[in-house]
Amino acid sequence: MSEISKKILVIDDEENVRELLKLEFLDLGFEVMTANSAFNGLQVLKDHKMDLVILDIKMPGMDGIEALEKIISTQRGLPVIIHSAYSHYKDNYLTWSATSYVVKSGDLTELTAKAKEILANKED
Amino acid sequence: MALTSENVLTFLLAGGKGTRLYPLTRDRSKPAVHFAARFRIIDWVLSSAINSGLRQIYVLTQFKSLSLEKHLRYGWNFLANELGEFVQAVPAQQRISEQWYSGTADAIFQNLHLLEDHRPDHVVILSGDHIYNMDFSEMFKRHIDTGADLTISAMEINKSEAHEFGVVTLNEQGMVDSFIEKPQDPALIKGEGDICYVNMGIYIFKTDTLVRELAKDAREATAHDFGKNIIPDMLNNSIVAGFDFKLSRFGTYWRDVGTIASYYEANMEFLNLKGVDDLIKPQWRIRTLGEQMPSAYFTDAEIHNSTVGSGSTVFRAKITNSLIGRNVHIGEGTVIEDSIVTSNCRVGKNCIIKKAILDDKVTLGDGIKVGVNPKEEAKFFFFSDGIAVLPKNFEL
Repeated sequence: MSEISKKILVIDDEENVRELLKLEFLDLGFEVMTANSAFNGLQVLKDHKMDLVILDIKMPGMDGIEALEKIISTQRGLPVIIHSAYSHYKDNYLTWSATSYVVKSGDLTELTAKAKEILANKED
Repeated sequence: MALTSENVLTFLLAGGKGTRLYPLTRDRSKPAVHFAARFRIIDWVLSSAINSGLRQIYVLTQFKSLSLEKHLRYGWNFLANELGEFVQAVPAQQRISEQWYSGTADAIFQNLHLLEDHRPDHVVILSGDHIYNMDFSEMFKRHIDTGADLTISAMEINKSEAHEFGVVTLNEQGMVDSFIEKPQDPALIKGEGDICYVNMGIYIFKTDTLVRELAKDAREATAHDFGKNIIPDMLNNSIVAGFDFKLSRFGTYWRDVGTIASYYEANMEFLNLKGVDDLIKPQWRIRTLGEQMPSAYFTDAEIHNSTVGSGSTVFRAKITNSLIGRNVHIGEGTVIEDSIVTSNCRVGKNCIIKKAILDDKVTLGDGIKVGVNPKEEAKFFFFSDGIAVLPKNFEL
């Protein structure tokens, strides 16, 4: 499978973040879908096969930690990058099941590098 | 080392189906099966845990858990909650997965939120399936002294039986250098003849290591089992220490009681310990749910090498090599030999019961024969390895 067809789902309640990540990953040649809540994100995952999820933690309603639990239970092998403005969730054991944890920053270098690395290693 | 002052959380895995113990497990999980006519199997490991100073204990239940949960509620609800102590049953909540626990490691993974709530430094993982006494504080001391990420308790067993277990080899420092689950050709202990070390399913983890390994395992398609996946994987990247069970001050007796035959034998061993051995010590008491009842009553009864629980009455009957539980009534002229009669049974007059297990609340009328002619009786009773097993609430 070529890199161009890899699909990324961005789950974040902040529209600016969703748009920023969408443009960035589209530029890098990935397909991108977005969801503005954990509930909507889980619904997207039911309907579409994705290769990577980029998941915010602090969201109204279901947070990213609960969403992560549900993703692992239904799609065990699906990589998830936690993308939070807060670093302290790194200490929360419930986030350790994520493939990676990237603290939000205006500079997307770390996030895109991590996403590319994970997708390059992912078996289809 | 006083475990009461350490930041340790204990998980007791008590979801075993005990399929080979059917019909004793028809209505309950294996840890809730009666032992020695009055205890439950889980009482042994819980007593060892409490006696060792482990006071924050989650019991992870799964199949047919009502009987076990009632036992814990009525028999083990005595710790001081205001001091942070508890024995708490945790039903499979399907919080993470909508499936039952798929393995021992998955059972802990699905309860990671409890680790996050408590933030212990170390986690003790025990199984509720076995009969033994052990001072876990001795194993914990070794865990601390070696700085291990994981400490495994290992016991010696004959090579001929070792293929049923995870076989461990230890180096000269007692650190684990290999672990193979159910090997065809088990590795021997050097210089000890046909003896192997096997895994007892007793683990002490550093919490961070445990969570890291569980999280990694959860993302992979494995059996999610400590013996099959987590421990072999950790040998490549972690410090894994062994603890020799025989060095424990109680470390000589351990039984799996996984089949009707081994269950029966362990009960008879208990009887023949005659109150003097590792299983029964005044300073290491085995707790169970103790209903208040008057002392057992006998009239012209003949009792040889047997125990009879409180509240029981025996009228002109002969009991030999048998364990009789609480609140059991045995009628005139009845003969009971080599049998286990669990609490709350009623046995009529002139019955003959030989090499049988009567589970809770069995009722037999007058003149019933059990275990006298197994071929003939197979129409009425369940037999396993020549032992008649009358399930809970059986009436004839």
